[in-house]
Amino acid sequence: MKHPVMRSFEESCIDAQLALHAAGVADADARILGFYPQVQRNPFQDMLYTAGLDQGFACFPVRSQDEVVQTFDDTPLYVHYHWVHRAFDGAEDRSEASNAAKQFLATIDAQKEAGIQTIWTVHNLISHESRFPEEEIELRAGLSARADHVHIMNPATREVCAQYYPIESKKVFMVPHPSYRGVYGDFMSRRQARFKLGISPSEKVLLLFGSMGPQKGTNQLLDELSAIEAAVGERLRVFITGAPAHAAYMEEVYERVAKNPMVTLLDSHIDDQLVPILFRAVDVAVCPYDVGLNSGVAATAATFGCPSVVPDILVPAMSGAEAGVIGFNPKDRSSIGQAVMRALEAGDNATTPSALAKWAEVNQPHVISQAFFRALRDRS
Amino acid sequence: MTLATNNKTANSQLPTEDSVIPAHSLDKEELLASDDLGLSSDVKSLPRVKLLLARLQVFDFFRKTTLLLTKRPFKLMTRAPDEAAVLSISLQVITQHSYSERGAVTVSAQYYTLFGRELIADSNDHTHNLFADPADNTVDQPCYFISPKGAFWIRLTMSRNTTERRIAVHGSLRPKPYRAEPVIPFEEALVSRDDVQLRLQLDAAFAFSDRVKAKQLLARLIFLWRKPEDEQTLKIITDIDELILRPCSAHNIKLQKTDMAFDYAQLMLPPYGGCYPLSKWLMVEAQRLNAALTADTLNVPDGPYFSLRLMAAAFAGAVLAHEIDAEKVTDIPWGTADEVRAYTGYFKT
Repeated sequence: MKHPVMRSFEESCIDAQLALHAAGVADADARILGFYPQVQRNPFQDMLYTAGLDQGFACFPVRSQDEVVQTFDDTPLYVHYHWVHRAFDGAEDRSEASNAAKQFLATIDAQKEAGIQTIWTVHNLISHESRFPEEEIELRAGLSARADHVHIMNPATREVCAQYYPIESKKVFMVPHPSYRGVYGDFMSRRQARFKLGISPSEKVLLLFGSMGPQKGTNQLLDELSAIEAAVGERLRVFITGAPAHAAYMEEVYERVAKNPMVTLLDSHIDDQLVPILFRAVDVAVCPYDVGLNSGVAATAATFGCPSVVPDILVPAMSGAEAGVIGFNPKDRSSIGQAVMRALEAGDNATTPSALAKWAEVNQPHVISQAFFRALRDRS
Repeated sequence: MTLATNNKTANSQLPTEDSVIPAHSLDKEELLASDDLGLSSDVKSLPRVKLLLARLQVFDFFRKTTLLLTKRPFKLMTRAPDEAAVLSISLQVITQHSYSERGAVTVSAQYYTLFGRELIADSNDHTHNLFADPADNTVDQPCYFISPKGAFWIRLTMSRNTTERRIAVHGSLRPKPYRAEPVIPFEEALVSRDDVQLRLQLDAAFAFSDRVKAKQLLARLIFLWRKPEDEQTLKIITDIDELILRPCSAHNIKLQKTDMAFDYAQLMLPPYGGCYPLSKWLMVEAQRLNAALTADTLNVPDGPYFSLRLMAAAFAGAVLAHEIDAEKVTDIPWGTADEVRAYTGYFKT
C-alpha cells in the first residue's frame, strides 16, 4: 500500500452498503459504524470489529469527528469513540483545550440530533498521555452524559470512574478485552527466543512493553528495581520496549538505563515480528501503572502464556486468567516486589500456561467481536 | 529588503548582521566537475556592507545565483510582499548524479509578524520537495507559498536530503509575488514540474470532460507529488471510462408502455457528488431501486438529477414505461450528456 487508504465518509458509507449487501445482510439488519479516532499501530480496533460484517455492522475509521453525518436515512448509523483525548490535538493551553472539549461535545449533540447513535469505549479512567487532565475529565463527563451505549471491558469501570464522572448503569454493556490469539505470529520457541535476545537460560527477565510515558510507570519501576530484586531474591534483567515519550521524560529514562547494565532499552515502535519473540522470551510482563482499567499488554502476555503483573484493579478485567495475572496495589508500590515474585512462581507452575491458553482461546478476537456486536444489537 | 541567515534556531528570532550566507557562485558545469572542491572554500561570508545595502533595499543581491547547499540548511528571511499574497520562487536543483533524484532538496516556508511572532499557516502546502537533476538537464521548479494573514516576514529554508553527492540550487532565491502566468501549451505543461500549470490544464480538461488529457495530467501529477487526492481523481475518471466502455445497451426491451409503472422521481441515495467512483454509487442506487420497485416498468420523469436517475435505472436493468426526451439529459462530473445517453441504452442511435 502506497499510503493509508483515504476514503471520504461518503465513499466509506457507499462501500459499507456494498459490503453488507455482498455479505447477505438484509437491509433491515444493516448497520454502519464509524469509529474515531483510528489508531494504526495498535490492532485493538481491527480485533474488536473483526466480526462486524458477519453481524451486520460495516465498521470503518473516520478521519475527523465532524465528518460523521447521516448519509442513509434508513440505515442506522453509529459513531464509536475510543481515545477521546485526541480532541485536544492542537490545543496549546487549557483555554484552547476547554474550547476543544466544548466543540467536541457540540458535535456529538448535532450528531445525536441527526439520529446518529453514540458509543463510547472507556479504555481508561483518563488517557495515559493526558496533557489537560481537568479538561479531559470535563470532556469525559460530557461524553458519558451523551453516549447512548458505553462499552466497558472491566467490571469495575463505573465504580472507578464515579469519583470523576458518572456513567449511567443503563447505558453500560460489558464485553472484555480480546486476547491476541491469531493476531501475531508465534513461530519461535521460548529457548530460541531467549537465545536470540541474549538471555541466558537461568536469568529472570521482566518486560515493560508499549509506549512509554509518565503514567506508564517506566521510571518508577526502574527506581523500584532494587527493592523488587530484594523481594525476589535475585538479580533481574529488564527489557523496556516501545515508542518513546516526550524528550524530557526520555532523558530521565536514559539516565536510569545508563546506570544499570541489566536494563535493555528498545525505544522505538516494536515491529509485529518482535512481539511474540519478546513475550515468549521473558518471564513476566510488568504493567507498573498508577491507574488503568484495561491492559493490552497483559492480554498480549496471557496470549503467549506469559504471566503479568498489573494494578490490582485490572485483575477482574482478565477473568479466567487469574492464575497468570497478578495484581499489585498502586497505592503501596512496595507490593510490586511481592507481585513479581508471585508472577515468577506462576511462570514456574506447569498449569499456568494452559490456564492462560484457555483464556486466550475463550477470548479470541472473533469471539469477543461477536459478543460486542450482539450486545450492541440487543440494546438498539 | 532581503536578509539571509543560516541561523540554527528555528524560532522567531529575526536575523542579525552577523548572519552568514553559505553562498557561492558556481557554474553548472563547474559543479559537475567539482568532485575535488572543498566545501569550506565554497562558503563565503556575506560582507557587512552588502548586507546593509540589501537591508536598505539599495539593490537586490539575490539575482539568479547558484548556491551550493551544505549540511546545514540555508535560511533566508525576507519581507513578505503583501498580506495573504501568493509568493513564488523558481529554482533549478543540480546534482552530480547522472540521473534525477526525487526529493533531493526541501524548500519550506515559515511566516512571522513584524515583531517576530511565528504564524501558523492554514495549509500544509508550505513544504516543497524538489528533484535534483544532472547539470545538463535541469528544469525550473516553481514553488508557491500562500503567506497567512498578518505575515510580515517569510523565512525560506532550503535543505538537502542527501549527503551522497553535491547538490546546488540555481535561481533567484528571494520569493516574489506570484503573478498569473499565461497558460503554457498542454504538451509543455505535461513535462513540467509546475503544479500551477498542470492544475490549470486539469481544470480546463474538467470543463470539457476531456478524460484523455486529464488522465495524462493526473499521471504526471501523481508521478511528481503522489498526492492521494490526485490518485482518487484518476480512479474516478478511469471508472467513468470503464462505465462508458460497457454501456447498458443489452436490454432486450427498452420500452414497455404501461400505466402501472413505478415512479422513479427521486434518488434513493444522496446525489452523486463526484468525489468517489460513480460505479459504486450506481451499484447501491440500483440495489435500492430494485428493492423499492413495485412494478415491472419504470417511469423516470424530468427533474433534478435526471441523468443520474437514468443511469441508475439502466444499471438496474429497468424497462422504461415511456419515451424520454434526450435533450433533458445533462453532463455528469467527467462525463458528457452524449456519453450518458449512450451508456443508458435508452436512446435510439
